Amino acid sequence: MKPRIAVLMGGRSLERDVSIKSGKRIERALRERDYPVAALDVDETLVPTLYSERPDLVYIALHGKDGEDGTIQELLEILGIPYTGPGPLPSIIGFNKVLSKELLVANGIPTPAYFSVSSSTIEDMGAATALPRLWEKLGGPVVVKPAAQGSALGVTIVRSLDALSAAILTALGYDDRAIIESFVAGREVAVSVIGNVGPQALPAVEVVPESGFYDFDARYSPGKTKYFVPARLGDEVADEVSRLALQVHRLFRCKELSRVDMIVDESGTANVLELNISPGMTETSLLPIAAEAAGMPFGDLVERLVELALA
Amino acid sequence: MSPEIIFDPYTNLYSKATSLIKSSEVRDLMSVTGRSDVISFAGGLPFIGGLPSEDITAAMDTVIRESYTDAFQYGETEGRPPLKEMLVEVMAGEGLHCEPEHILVTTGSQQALDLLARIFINPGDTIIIEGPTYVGALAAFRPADPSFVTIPLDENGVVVDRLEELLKTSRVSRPKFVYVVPNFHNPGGVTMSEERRGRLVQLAEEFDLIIIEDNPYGLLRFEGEPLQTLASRDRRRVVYVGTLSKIISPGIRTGWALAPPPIFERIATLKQGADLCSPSLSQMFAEQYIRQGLWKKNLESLRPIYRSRRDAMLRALAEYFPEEATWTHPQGGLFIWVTLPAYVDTTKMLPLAILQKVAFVPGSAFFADGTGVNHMRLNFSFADEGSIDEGIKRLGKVINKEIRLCRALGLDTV
Repeated sequence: MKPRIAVLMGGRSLERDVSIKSGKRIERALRERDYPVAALDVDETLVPTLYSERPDLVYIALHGKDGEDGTIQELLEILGIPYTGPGPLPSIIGFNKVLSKELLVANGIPTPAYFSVSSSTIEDMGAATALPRLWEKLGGPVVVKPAAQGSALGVTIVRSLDALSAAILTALGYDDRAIIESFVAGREVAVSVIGNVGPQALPAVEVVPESGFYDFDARYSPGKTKYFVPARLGDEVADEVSRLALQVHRLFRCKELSRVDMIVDESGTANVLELNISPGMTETSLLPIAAEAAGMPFGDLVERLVELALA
Repeated sequence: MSPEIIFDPYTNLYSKATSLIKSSEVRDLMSVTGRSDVISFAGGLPFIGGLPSEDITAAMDTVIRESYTDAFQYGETEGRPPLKEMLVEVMAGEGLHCEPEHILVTTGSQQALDLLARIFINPGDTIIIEGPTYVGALAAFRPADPSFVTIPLDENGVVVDRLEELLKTSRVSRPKFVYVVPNFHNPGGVTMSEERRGRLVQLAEEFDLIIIEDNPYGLLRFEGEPLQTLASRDRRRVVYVGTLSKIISPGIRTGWALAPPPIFERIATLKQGADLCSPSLSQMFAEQYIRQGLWKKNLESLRPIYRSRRDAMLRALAEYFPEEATWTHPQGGLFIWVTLPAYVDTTKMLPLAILQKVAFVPGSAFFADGTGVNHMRLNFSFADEGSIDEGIKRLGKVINKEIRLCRALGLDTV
């Protein structure tokens, strides 16, 4: 008798729709392989429903706030139900760009230089006056993002100082804290890592936005982004990228699964941008594409993640 | 990176028109507004709860029992004649008198806009629209690749002076048409004054222009006196577009175009290629509903509800919004249009609002060129009075915070 699985999807973050797409695809794959499945949305009835459904495993197909930031993971720890993906700590840290970057820096992992700023320093301490100095130190262009990861929205590339304030305002629409990071030109690659004891890096996927910047428009306008898997990197660089992804996966104590996003600059140096602990699983998401390239069709990928979670 | 990326292996196959379809930057955020914990002023949804279910059932029942085969068969492309007789009656209710053979039934008035775009616009052609304008019109017109010329609105509707100036100084190449929403504008809330209606029609005559008059809300008036339609002043150059969405139901997808014969012929031919005919079942239901006078009953019960909600919103705006904000005072319809200081960008402010569990539509969606960022459209028909008060209160706080941030960042000069 196969383990009973509850797939959590939807939720209340800004990525609800994507989560439902991921979740439904996962649900279908599990049913096709004869797993008893319950599809659950996340609302105030979640805990009572989990009590009555009594799943052997919770498959987390949530993205964004509450799903990727440790919130649901903390709850499942209390309930004592095994779940897919990393635990509360890597989730909390991974979702917060400031914490993530500090962890990377402290461990000598290359990541673009940055500063962070919160709305209260701007509103209450006159931080806006310090922006020219910030710009000088980073030596523009820069990328401004909300510190709470979870969306391509709120991200702006800034090429001149006079556009910086507006970009910070945009980012602060999503979170109380923004990070301002040096823009590194290069190839954007995403490396998915699967496994606990002997994690393995899947082939890197290279993402090439038409406009040169992977902003909201590039993300959501069909055809505006090309991808290459495996990424077009020389062997040496490809190996280094895999090694780095594994290092980050271990550093963050990611259980079973993570996706590490990087930029490989012109000199072939990989810079880590961020870690995702609940990567998308839709037809056009990076992790399934990488798995496919590694000879692991979607159904196999899902089953593997289930096995890892129950191990 | 976000988890969702759209890769498209068919890029080289798409038509040029496809590349003109914009994906909305706020689309993702908008889908969140459906959450039950968010007080949403974002929809344009009529209050369907006001539709009495016994009446609906009775009308549907009549249709099925008496005309089963017709309801489930193809019908004429131009629409069912009995329905058109009823639409004549509906338009007569606004002082517009016409013949059923000039009416083309469409699948929502949205289809009428789409067909009109396709029969009139060649890539690069000038069309004149209001700023702001109905977002659905932009979506219908854009794929035809027009060059938009925008005339601003004020509290009396489209600023006809500006249009006149533009036409007289020949600063625009001959426009294919002027598209206006004269009554309880979506999103503007305003109504075109009597004086301007007369002048607009005169200008159309003088410069040989077609006017597309889109009137979804004309019958949703809750104060003041109705003004005569543009079409009733000039049947030769006004194409009147109507819909049953707000007065019966949007789900039946029933609208129409009242057009001068040559235009009628062309859109009918095009419609045939688009969907052969609009749904027979919907048309028959609509015909019954109107024939039994139920639509009037429905309107009579809706008006006080909308009026009360509008009043609740106006009160709340006065109480909670900063003094720098201004807004329109619609005499009907479903929307209030808010104007904030020029340096505020409501698109940037939207996620902040959603975090506070209130939603609206940012103003730039309603401008062809993406300007208008310091406006918001607020719908008052959907939430009840208590939620309206609470929602506007939350929104007021969000606006105040945004203004403070703008000031602190030195962005408050434009």
